[in-house]
Amino acid sequence: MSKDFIRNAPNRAERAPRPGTRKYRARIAEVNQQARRNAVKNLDEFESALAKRYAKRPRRAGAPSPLRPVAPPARAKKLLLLILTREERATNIIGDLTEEYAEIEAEYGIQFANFWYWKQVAASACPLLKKALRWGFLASIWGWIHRLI
Amino acid sequence: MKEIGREAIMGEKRDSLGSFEEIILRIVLGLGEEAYGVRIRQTAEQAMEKSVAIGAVYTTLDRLERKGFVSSWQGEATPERGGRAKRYFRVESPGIRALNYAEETRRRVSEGLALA
Repeated sequence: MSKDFIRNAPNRAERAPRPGTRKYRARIAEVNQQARRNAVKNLDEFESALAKRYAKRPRRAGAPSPLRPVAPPARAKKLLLLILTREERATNIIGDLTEEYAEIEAEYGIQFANFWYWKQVAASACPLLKKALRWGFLASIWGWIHRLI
Repeated sequence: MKEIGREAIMGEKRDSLGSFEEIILRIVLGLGEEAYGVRIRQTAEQAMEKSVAIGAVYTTLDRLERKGFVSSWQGEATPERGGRAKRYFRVESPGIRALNYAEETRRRVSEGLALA
């Protein structure tokens, strides 16, 4: 009883087949087949993710797709960079807008996020432009005074 | 506290606080270590129940910084911000004095006392 128990124990180490034998070749074929099955499965998953991404209807909600990094509208960003005078301030404002854009995109979808971004740029343009023009105006007056002196 | 506020603030035009400036200053004070552009804008939007532009927030914060009410420093750059750094703000003691003075003024007016 005890000898049978030891002989049929499940944790008994399986001996690896020796190279060149039929068992060895069968094992290699089995491993290759398994790898091929996994590759096909991965490819299917990848293709279905791509199909979802490029479907006609835009994704309205859900987590952002790992296939595409979150990118706010480039033209709006360019417009903001035109208005902003200082590089440091541009970095802060665009960084803040990008962070919030990603949150809104994940919650409400890309179209609403784009609309929100443009709205923020348009609303920010007025105070920022006013400030830039004021400083520009003061700088020009200082330039004239400097030239006269 | 009333006398300190009056002595420190009265007679200097640059120390006066506008209504939006006061809101932003209170938000920065309330947020503490988490006071940066996104959080300040979102909190202002919730408090005022209307849309607040990030440009308006930064223009106000710049003005408050020039007055010496807040100070700022650059934080870490994160990937969700496109590798751009955060700018954190902190209320300084002149800012707290200005808030106290604004609060005191409001209280005096609401109590109907003569300001003179």
